[in-house]
Amino acid sequence: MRFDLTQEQEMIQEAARRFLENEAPISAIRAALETADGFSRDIWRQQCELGWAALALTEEAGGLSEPDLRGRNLAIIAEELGRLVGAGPFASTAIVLDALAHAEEGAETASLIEGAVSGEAILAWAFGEEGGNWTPSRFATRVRMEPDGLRLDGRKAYVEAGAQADVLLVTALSDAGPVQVAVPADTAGVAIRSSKSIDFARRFAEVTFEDVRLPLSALVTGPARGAAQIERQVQLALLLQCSETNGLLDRTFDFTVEYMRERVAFGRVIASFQALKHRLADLTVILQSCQATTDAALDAFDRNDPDAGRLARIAKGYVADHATDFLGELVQLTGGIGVTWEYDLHIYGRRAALNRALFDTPERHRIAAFAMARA
Amino acid sequence: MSENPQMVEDTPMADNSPMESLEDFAIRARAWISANLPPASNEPRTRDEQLAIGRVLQAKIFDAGFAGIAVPKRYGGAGLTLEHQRVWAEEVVGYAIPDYFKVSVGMMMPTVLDCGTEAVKQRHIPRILRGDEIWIQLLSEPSGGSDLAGALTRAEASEGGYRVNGSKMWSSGAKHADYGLCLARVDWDVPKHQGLIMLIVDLKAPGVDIHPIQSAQGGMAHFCMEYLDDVAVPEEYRLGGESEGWTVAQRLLFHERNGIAGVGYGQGFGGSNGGGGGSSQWRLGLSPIVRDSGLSLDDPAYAALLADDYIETVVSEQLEARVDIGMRSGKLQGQWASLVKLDMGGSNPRNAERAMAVAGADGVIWSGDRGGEIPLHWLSVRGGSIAGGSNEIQRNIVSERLMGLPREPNPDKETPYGEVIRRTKR
Repeated sequence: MRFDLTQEQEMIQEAARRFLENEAPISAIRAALETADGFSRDIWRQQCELGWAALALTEEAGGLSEPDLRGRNLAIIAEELGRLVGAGPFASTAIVLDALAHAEEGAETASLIEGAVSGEAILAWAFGEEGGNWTPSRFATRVRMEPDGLRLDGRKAYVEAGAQADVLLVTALSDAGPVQVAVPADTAGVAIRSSKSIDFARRFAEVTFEDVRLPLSALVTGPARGAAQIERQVQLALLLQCSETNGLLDRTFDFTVEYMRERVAFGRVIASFQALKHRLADLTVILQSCQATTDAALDAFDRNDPDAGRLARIAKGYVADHATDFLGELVQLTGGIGVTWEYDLHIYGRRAALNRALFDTPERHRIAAFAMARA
Repeated sequence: MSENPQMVEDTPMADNSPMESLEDFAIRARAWISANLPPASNEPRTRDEQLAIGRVLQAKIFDAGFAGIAVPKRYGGAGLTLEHQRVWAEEVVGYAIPDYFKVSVGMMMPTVLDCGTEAVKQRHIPRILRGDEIWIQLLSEPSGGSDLAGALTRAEASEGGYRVNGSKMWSSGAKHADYGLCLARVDWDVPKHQGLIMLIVDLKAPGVDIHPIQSAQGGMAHFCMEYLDDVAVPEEYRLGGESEGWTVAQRLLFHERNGIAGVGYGQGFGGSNGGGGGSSQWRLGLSPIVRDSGLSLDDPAYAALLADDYIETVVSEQLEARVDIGMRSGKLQGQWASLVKLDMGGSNPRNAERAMAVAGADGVIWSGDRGGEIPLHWLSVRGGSIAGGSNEIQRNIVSERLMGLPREPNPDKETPYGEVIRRTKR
């Protein structure tokens, strides 16, 4: 976690941690594997009562955050979720709320925002397309804007909470540029097919749109603001991922070191062997670096800095790549039980693997960040 | 010996006058700097050129009252705080800085300030601050690089002080230096760390013989080997108590680490020690190399490698910023600068490797007079991962002191060091 949390942020963090430890410990996440939805709507509602979804909005827009602290506030929750590999539509809700809060005039958002903030309405962001396509300019999903309504055609993949959502925010191309529309899940022409994922609690779906007719008021993001708003959402998605992953790494590092301080082999605790101490020192460099780069990117996001896009991609490019290695190292340091079902490390590893690929790989983000630096 | 350098005895508050605020100091410093310091130059310079230019700049800075900003006035300083020093460091960015004096002023001087006698402080600190005297460290020995406490240099009591015999190695800048802080062993009948003494050695004294070390790159390196043959050191040139040598040495290393982490008395002397973002001594910019070799920055063979280097460079700077915030806020306590040093100790060699990758054959074979900079850089880049506390030592510090993991078992904790030496002698 960053060192300069405000007192209020510390309270948010503590309340989130307490809630998750009590209501959603790892055992609950193991149990989530067997459920259809992966998360409990009741627990999500309680988390919304703590204000989690409301942190995505400024006070003016009906939320809880000061305008220049939204990203950092959301990151606190994301990190706490990471610590216990949490379930629930937190990230997608936060991202879609951002779109709704910056919606076009004429868009019908008020009741949707209210519903999302209370946890009653589940929101999903239908963004990526098959084949690991996270580039809007290459999307096949299309919106036709007609005088009396909108027509949506296409297919989205990797939609988090796609089968649980009440409303999907769909990013598509129009003749005038990228746009986003709000599509109630039960609209005619919408077909949702659940996918499987490596993660225990997070669920994804493929969603097909076949000549879906929508009113004009379903246009949340118009073409004039489309590219900029979508970019902001991508940044937020990357930053929440990185924050969650940092929480994963922090917690697993702690319990691995604890294990090594207790575990005896060859006459002494394994944490006293220099070869292993040195590897822990190297992991500390990575852990602190992950936090440092995420903090820098969150600061830029909250300041609306022109560098925000580059820094978010640097953060993703660093954190996501190192996280899976890091967890692999922890398994190595733990020994045999580290590859068993009963030991929790693999639950964290699955989350890290998921975050690595979602919203594109660190390999591509590094190249993109470097290109942005040279532009 | 003062524990907290920010609380040295006579700040202006002792005079009952209020201390200049950071804001007022920033305004005053900025005005002086812009009127008096030339802009920073990218021209490559030899060490000798750096020294000559540095002497002029440091004297100028001292005469204007900006040297030793956190050092008490009676020792020639400005009598302000390390926070003011940090402000100076921020204001001086982009201007020519006398980097050459970073170790002397940033590391040696504070150790003398913490541990020296009043007479030594009053005589020498003003001269160090003005750049009239250069002080270096005499710690490592040929027989024990990282094992500083294993020093075999002998100090024996003699009339009026001590006689010193032995050899020291890896002292940066000894060729032009005036004094060295020398760690020696004065008592062989007590355990290792208890028999050490720290002495100030006049490098111009009879018996001191300084040899520059030739670097793997071919030329003379900046560091030297010193032979000490019956060198006389007066009593008052001892730092700390007679068996407090190791405590003083740890103080010196504390200041060294601060310098590497960009905090402490060396702030404002730039990154020549390997600290400071993206320092050029230890890191190469890859894009110019790629362009010079006629490659495209989008060449698919190198795209990932170039991007990796870029990410690593930025994240190292961000890590340094985080440690800085952590230490200043008090959330990080202890030797966290070691984390920054360890990070750079890994990323700089990787950068050198990548430079060779993109330079290809033209990097290692050339016509004309100039060439080979890239492999030459690679040949010595590991110096930064070894000097100032090697990667392995930093890993010990991070794991044992920061994480509190169990120390290495040591069967010789109570053994007189003389006996340890006899047993392990080769």
